[in-house]
Amino acid sequence: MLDRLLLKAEKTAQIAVWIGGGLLIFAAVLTTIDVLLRKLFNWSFGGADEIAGYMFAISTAFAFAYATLHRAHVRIDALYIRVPARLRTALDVLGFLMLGGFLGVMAERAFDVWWNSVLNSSVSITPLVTKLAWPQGFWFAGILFFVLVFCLILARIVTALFARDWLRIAQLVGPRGVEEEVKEERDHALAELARERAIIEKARRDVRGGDS
Amino acid sequence: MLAWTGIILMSLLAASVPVAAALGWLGLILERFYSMMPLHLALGEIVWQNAIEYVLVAIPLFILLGEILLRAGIAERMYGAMVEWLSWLPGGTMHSNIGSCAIFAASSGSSVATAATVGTVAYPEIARRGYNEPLFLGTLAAGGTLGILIPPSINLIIYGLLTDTSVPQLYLAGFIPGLTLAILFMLTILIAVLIKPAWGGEPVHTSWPARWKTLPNLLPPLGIFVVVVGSIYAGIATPTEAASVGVVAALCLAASFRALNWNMVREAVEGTLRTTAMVMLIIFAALFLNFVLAAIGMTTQLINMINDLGVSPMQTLWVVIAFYIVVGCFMETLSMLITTTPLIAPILIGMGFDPVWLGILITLLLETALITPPVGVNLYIVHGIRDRGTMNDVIIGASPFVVTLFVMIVLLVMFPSIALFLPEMFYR
Repeated sequence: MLDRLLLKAEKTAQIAVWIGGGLLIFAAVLTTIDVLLRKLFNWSFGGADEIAGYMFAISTAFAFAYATLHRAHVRIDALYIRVPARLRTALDVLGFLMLGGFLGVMAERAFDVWWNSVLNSSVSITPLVTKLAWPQGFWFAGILFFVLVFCLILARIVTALFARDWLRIAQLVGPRGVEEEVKEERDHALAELARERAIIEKARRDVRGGDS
Repeated sequence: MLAWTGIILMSLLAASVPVAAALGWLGLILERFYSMMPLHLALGEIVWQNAIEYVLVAIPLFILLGEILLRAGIAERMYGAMVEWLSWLPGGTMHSNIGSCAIFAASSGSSVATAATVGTVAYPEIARRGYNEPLFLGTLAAGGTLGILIPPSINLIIYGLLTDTSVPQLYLAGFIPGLTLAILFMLTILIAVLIKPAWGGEPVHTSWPARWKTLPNLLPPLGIFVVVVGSIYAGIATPTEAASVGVVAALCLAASFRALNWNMVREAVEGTLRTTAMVMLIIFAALFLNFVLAAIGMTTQLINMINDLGVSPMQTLWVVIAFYIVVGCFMETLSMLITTTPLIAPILIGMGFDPVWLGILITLLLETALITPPVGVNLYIVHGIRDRGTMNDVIIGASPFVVTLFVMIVLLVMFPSIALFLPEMFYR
């Protein structure tokens, strides 16, 4: 159940990032046209910078969840790689909780910013006079999406803890590369096993050969 | 208070808490113990104001520019040309790494993008020609640092924003130091290979006809460079606008190479937003921490401490340099730039140092921080492209280049005109 939800969350985060990237490219094209018009015809439609700022804020907020699901947050592993595996798992979970905690505080404050704009019908002090509740609403939604994904991952960690499924925890919140390392270890072990089997097989055949 | 701040930050980072969370929590903890006011209430406003900051929009745009160039195969072609032109030197394609990084740096604003892009293209060379793996990785990590020095640079934009210094002047000032540093990096490779010829791998065979044939492959990145940096110097565009134009130009280039398709754009934006989210979260957390540090008087305490040292401007400068080198070992560069510049730049500029020159000096120190362990983003990036080995390989390989950076820093302090020559010629 949780795993299926997580897959759904991953897909959603990915689509959010595509849209965010689209917004960013749109902002770039808009700005380029603005620059060209200004240079060639000395005319500007104005506000391209403000719009680009909103798109930037929204796409960044929605990308928090994506970056977290892809474990893209920079961590310092100088000490981490030198401690026993169980302690590493504990540090993984601690780091994840602190990340979620900080973003949780941020989400709460972001809600406040948005809700105040809604209550006061705040507008931007620019020629566009944007109703701030709109861009701030989408921006807050992005941070809220992170919080939802965080809770989902957290729930999955708890079930994995009960099942003593350390590997799954590493896959969820361990540093990137652990998974690959694990796979490498496994492949290496399988190769070793195959080699040993071959030797035993060969020895058996040799023994039989000696018998006959 | 100063000591506790250091201890808490160190403990959090050592416990491998994500850097953004460590900075954010340090802010929250300091607020809890040293502030009378509920400072965290400002967190939402701080994040929102900077999330829409137009100058910062240049960051994802420059990252996107790099991603597009990478996926359009432009970087690969450029690397091929660089191999033809530079690999006759002892040390072979390691020189091409530095050359490609320098050129890529001139079309991308970030060291991370530079190291990741050139690294991905160059990495297979180790196995192909039997280079000393640590040294080869070191050239990638070090070459990548050129990204923040050679314009367009994201870090110089942030420095300009924080110190109210002209970004075009900073960009002009970054040129000669960037080229000098690239040459010094190549000298470092030469020295290393002269000491241990086995590190240099198999010699690469190149010819003049092949060189001329690959020359056009250098044009696309140089074209982007001219469009982006040129439009800033010509006064047509702000850095963010220039970055937008660069993205559009890169998309057109990709289309002309028939590399523009849905998959390519999808991968490019995924990579861009993954990095952007990570970087921006650190910036938000650092700005919040900055706010808390200023509110609880830590900033003043630090300035007083430096003033109390009662030393000459030159001695202060060396103390600052030492401080950056030490802190740079432990802190991510962008967070370091954002947290330290508002504190340190006013002190030094007040003592009579040139703000543009100081920007270049701090950038060089940040470059050092990018490749000094335990926290060096480029070390992570270069290690990230590999599928084997440990971080230590990269750390060992990058260490000679840390020495090179020290040499460059000393040169810049002794001869400030390395940075100031161009801006003085054009602007003053």
